[in-house]
Amino acid sequence: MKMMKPYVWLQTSDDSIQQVEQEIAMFCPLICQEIIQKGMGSSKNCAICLPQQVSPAMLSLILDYCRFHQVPGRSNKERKSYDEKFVRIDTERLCELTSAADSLQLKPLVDLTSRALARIIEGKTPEEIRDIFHLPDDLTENVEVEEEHVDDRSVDDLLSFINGNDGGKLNILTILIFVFT
Amino acid sequence: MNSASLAKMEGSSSVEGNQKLPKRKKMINDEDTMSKLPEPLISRILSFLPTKDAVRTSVLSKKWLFCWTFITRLDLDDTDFYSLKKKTGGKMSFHNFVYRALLHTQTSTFESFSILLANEYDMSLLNTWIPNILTRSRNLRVETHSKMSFSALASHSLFDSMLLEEVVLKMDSCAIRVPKIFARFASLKLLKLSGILFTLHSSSKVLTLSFPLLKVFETVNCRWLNGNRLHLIVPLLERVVIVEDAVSMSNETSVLAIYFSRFSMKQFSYCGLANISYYFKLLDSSSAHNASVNVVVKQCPTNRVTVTKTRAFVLLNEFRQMKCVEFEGCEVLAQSKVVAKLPSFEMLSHLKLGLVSGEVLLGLLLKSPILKTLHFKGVSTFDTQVLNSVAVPDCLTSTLQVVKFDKLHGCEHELCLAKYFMENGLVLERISFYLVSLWLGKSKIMEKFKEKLFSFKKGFSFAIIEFSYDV
Repeated sequence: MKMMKPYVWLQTSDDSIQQVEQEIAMFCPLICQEIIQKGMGSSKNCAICLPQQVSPAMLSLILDYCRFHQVPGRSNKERKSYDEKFVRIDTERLCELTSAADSLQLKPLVDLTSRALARIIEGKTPEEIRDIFHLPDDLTENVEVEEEHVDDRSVDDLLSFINGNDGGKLNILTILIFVFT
Repeated sequence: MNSASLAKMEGSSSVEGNQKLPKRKKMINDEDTMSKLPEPLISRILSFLPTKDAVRTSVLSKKWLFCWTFITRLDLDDTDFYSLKKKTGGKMSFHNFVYRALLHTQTSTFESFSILLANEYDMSLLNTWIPNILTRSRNLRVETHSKMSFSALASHSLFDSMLLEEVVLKMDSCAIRVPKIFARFASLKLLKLSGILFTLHSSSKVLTLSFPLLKVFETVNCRWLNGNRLHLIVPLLERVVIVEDAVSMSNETSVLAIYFSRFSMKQFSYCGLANISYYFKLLDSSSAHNASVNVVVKQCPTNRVTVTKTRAFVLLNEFRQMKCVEFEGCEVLAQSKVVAKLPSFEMLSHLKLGLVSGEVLLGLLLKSPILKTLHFKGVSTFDTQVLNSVAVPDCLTSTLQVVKFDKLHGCEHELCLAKYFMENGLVLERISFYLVSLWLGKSKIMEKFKEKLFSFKKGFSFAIIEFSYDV
């Protein structure tokens, strides 16, 4: 019986190729398109080339997620508690996962991980956030210099701005001041 | 942020700078974690944050400077801008925040947009914001306690909107002039309005609104002035809730009828403080099959009894295919030929009533041939002869299984009614009596009541009879 189960061949970013259950892989819209529209993945020679963001480790995580949610008859509570546990991983992997899920167009997982990342950011100081995400602090100098600037546009200017005239022209200054008011 | 706290931040970074330098260099070689994420994805993450926090991330790094401007949700809550520590600036900084959020965001369509105003504002401001918001959002939520009226531009943008999927407007008193006599909301699925006074366009007494996808229609203390009919075309509507409990609402100039077209609804609920304000009509093969209907009329002043009575009967007639009904304020049904006026409720299986007279109760039972459960909160004094004057209702002999007798006082007419159910309820399985007070349960009155009750002839073979005190 097990042999009958259709499989699909996937190639991850490190060029390794593996076989996974088609039913589960089809959960990802990108893979689904490749199979249905292009007839890919049916053998090792025409394995589906996954996007660069999908490493083998990420693929295995994503398939775990799909495997769980593909089972019918699970209660919302079960699904929710699975999801909660699923995103309890370190921030770096969470970012990788978000990016991989996004490249496979797996929207529910992208929402799940994005929400988890948002929770990490929420209520933290800029310095803390930079530490968590290892961001370069390449703006601080500008802030010091431009601190004294004030947005002196009148409300009318802003209004005409809002109503669509030259709405595209932004400058760094206004944004910075905006943040500090 | 003021300059003092800015200085503090600089200070901390210079103190720790030495320790962090090597670490950061290493990170840059490693490339930062977040750079694995493309900018649209960062914006998506920021959309899950409160807007104020999302905007704050622009100071993180060059890459993040503009990420927040693509967020797809805006939550503008003015209470975030008032703190106990800061005495000034709350209102002004909120103004600026809203303006700039509208100005700088480059998102063409917001998934959701909410603006909550707990404090008083100059409402011309809201009028300048609303048209912009309306043309850019799918889900809109506006809450304010201030009195306001929509500008012509704001009303137009509301009634012309093609994007809107969910609209929640919670206002205290907001006047909106409807700019046309027909409007179609192509994508709207949910509409919840509160405290809005619509004035119909002067060229017609009828306003027709088409909602091809609408599922939920809720209005609380809303009025439709200067017309006589509101016509809703709602093929997918499932839930209607209309509440009118504000004392000050005048009834004089509001529309008198609400028509539903192509409507196959599941739940209809109307709650009026003083009366039923509308004639409800179901048109064009609308049906209320399997619907549950809930009507509450709290106190009907004598000068409105006649008209409310007519509207109540119209309502019951339109909804005669319903499955469950809950009717509070049955006094409005009381009249001499109640049986003749009531339609036949062929599908009705659950009936729940407030205080009801024996005549009305009997009338409803006669018209509900397949009733299964009956629940009523008290019976007013009535001529007990009426019970013997007509044939026993079909439901009593064939379907009625549960009777809940609420607010029992132990009076003579209640006993008569209980006797009637005991003798004629051939398939009864349970009769529950809820006493009006705990004291009553221990009194002599109840003792006698029970004694007499158990001495009656019983029509059913086996049933649970219970007495309880309901808090």
